[in-house]
Amino acid sequence: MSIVSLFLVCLMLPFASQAAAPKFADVTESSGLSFRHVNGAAGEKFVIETVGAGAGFFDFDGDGMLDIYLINGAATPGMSYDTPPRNALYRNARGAGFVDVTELSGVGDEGYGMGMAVGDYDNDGDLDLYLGNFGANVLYRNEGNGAFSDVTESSGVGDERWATSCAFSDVDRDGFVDLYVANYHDFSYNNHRVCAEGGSGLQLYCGPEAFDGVPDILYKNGGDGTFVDVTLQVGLHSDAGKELGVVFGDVDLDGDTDLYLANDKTLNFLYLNDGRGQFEEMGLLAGTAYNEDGDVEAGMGVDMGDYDNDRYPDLFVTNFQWETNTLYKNLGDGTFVDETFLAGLGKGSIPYLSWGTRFFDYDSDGDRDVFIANGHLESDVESYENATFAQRNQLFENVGDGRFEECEPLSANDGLAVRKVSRGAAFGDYDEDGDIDILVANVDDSPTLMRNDTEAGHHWLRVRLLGKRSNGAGIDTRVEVHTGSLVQTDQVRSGSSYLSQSDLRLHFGLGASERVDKLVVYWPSGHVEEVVDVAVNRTLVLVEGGEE
Amino acid sequence: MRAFILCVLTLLGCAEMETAAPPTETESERIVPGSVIEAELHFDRGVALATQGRDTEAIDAYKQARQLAPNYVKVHYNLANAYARQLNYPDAIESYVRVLNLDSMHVSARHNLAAMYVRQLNYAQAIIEHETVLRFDPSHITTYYDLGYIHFLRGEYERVRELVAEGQRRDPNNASFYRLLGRMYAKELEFTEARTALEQSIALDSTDAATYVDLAQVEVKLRDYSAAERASRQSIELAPLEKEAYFVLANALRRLGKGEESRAILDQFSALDAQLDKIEDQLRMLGNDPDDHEARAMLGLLYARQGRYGEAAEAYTLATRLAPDSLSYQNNLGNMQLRLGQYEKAISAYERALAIDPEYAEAYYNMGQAHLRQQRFTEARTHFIEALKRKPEDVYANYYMGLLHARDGDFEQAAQVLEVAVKGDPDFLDARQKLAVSYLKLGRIEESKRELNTLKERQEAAGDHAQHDH
Repeated sequence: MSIVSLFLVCLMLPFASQAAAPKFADVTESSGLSFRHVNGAAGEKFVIETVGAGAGFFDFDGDGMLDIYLINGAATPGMSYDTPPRNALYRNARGAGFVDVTELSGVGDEGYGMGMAVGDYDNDGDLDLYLGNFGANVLYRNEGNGAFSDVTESSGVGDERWATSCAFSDVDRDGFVDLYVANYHDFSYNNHRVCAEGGSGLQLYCGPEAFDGVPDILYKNGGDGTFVDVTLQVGLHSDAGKELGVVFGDVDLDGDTDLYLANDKTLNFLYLNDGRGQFEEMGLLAGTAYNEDGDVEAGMGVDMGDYDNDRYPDLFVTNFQWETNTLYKNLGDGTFVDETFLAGLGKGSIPYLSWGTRFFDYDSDGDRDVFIANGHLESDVESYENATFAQRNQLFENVGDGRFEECEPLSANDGLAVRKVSRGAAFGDYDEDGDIDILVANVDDSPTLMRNDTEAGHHWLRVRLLGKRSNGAGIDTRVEVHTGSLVQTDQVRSGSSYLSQSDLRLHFGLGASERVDKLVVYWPSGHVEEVVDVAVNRTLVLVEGGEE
Repeated sequence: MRAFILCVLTLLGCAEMETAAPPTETESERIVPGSVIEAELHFDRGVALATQGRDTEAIDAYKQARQLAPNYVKVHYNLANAYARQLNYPDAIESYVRVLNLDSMHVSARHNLAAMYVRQLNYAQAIIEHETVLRFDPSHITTYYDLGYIHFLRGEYERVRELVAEGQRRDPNNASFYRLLGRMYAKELEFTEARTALEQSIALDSTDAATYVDLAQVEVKLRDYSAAERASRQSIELAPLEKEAYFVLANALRRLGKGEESRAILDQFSALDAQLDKIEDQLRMLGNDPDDHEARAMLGLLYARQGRYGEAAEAYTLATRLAPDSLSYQNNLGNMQLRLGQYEKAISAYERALAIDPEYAEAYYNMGQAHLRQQRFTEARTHFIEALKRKPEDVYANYYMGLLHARDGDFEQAAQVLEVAVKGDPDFLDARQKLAVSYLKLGRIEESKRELNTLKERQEAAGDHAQHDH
């Protein structure tokens, strides 16, 4: 393929610099990731089998390299395994692939796993791990020596309802991250049912309408290793939603962290924080509850990011097949507008059933592109519908004027050409080469590790934030990067995507810019710091209070 | 989406339904002589019942006809249509397939079969059936639209264009093709073209509320919020129970700076959406399991809340068939029939409720209502008395007994029961007024004055309260 035709795949950018054709190598096998997800299916069509699991990039041992955590399912009634399936932690061996350290680290939970979130809940300088399960959830405290302790019971966060996505965020800005756990609905093995929807007399998985929603949980961090359920007190108690996706961020730039929930076939919720950790649901008035037609969609994954570089974070929700995914542009006046079709994200998403997602700048050209993990629910969908169980994941290039264009895989061997039943997706530069790689969790299958080999030649800056008055991992910290007239904004985020955890460090693509003029850091404590004239192509570590 | 589903189901229910076409010669030969007449009688009875919206009974009649004449195409076809209207998709599909096994050229059956597949979100099979319809009958106009809509939902716009072009060539004045084109142009961001197409659709058919919504959405995209407001209001006027127009109107009003009004409209949208969503949920569940009596009854309740009493009655009829021992289903069925003015049917339902539980006071009261509305005062009195035997403090039973006593000139008795009613609900102003009149008739002037004063005070309080709320 010539350079010219490569550029036809993704169009040029009017500002920053030229887009580069995406090139992702599937390095799963060569990287040593021997993990295989199981959904425990025994033919009973339990709806939990469809939901899949998440995956995560985080540096558990503090060596500066991103490690990988993969979540597993478990046997359902009628199924058994010789060796019980469990989650797995892989240490990044610095160029020598990944090494399974699950046993040593003690994070091999054998529950029916769903989602994960990472944060430093005890502010001791290392990253702790929370798992949302179908069954009791689990909190692993990082002991700082490569091992974790299961502190679920003593911390009081082992709720047993069906949890999906989860996230840490310091909603009351007291310097300790609180914990949000989304619960899907009230399915249990006792109220299991099979549905025939889809036609042809096939027995299929039931949709969310067959079950009742249950409230999510916000745990307030007491700062002493314990958490208290404050869902009701802070205005977050509702059983109206069937939550799958969770993302925190400051949508109105008022200095606190708001919450957006992607709900499956119920309204999506936008909870605005009043600055004191009290929330009010404003999705309907803000225009983020429905799509542009006033229809409720099957929200799965979610991300928040400033795709149009106007400083206000926008929202992206992945949805079911024959629906589009939905892009809500933040107008900055407290309202959003569904720009899905205008942005070019509509038509291309209709044939896919979508899950994990992220605004990220794959080619570091200065604007955020969108990745979407796809895969159907029904293994026999091909027998009754013009759709496939395994589906190709998608990358949409931000072409710079508020529009996106889908990138086709460069070759059959490209990571974007892989067809699996994908669910969670995590993002981070595991090989430390300056671009963002992708880890995709697949149902009943091995994951896909997509190494970003895009030859963009663009500059970049990565920012790692360490809170002092704020929480240790700097979660919720908002950063503005100024290069010329361009201002890019991002926020440190636990959770998001779908059931997954991406690198907590912020990556900014800088295009041709060789210096960052100014970097402004808005810590959750309220402290604001500026760093000027910053060198690029490196990881900048900022400690709250001015240390670098 | 909902509009489309309604559209295809409506198609099922109209011209193609109660066609009493004579059997073909081949069919006649297969039918046992003697049975034919009886089968015809059952069939005709089924048609008559279906025409009255009594599909459950119609299905019974069609089944009897089918038993006598198993190869009678029109019986299977009408049976399928009745199942379809009851959202019993598996049985509807089975019956349509039987029609097609007997007559593969039966275009209407195939078209309706496709609609069933759409209702089950089985678009692939629906497309196959629709394409077959067009092969057999290229002049089947609605299929161009229905098939085009499926491709529209799937984002396959090129095929939409082809189908619309062919449909318009055959029927240039069909508004639905312009609507589909308009919607597609909007998705392709060709908003000016979308506006033109939708305006053409409205010019051809100004009664379709959904097209006004589409136009309003396009006007929002074109930033003409006043036009969006006008179009969405027009839609609401045509179909006040359809939610979409409220959503677009709220959007337009917000952009016009009418924030308060926008919020109020959004509230209306939310309320409607919640109701319609629940209805959709029940419909989906019934698509999976037509014998789910709880879903049938819930559907009845939801329809009733929307004032759709005919549909509610049909849902409850089915629920009572599936769970004949349910007291509440029988009683609620009676209530729906009462609202529809079908008093004898309502009384029958209440009688069935009382057969289940002879102590069920509500059924006696409701039966009293059914008689009262037919001015059968003696029977009404009998049933209110029975209700009061079981619930002596019942406010409304006492009130209506009061009215009946007053009608008979027995103000002493009237005052007694009206006092109970007023005690049970001090804000029941009508009862208080009737009580004042009864006192007056009995010469108890002071008591009458007292009641009238109380009545006045409470009326004023209610007025003040209403004003305050406003």
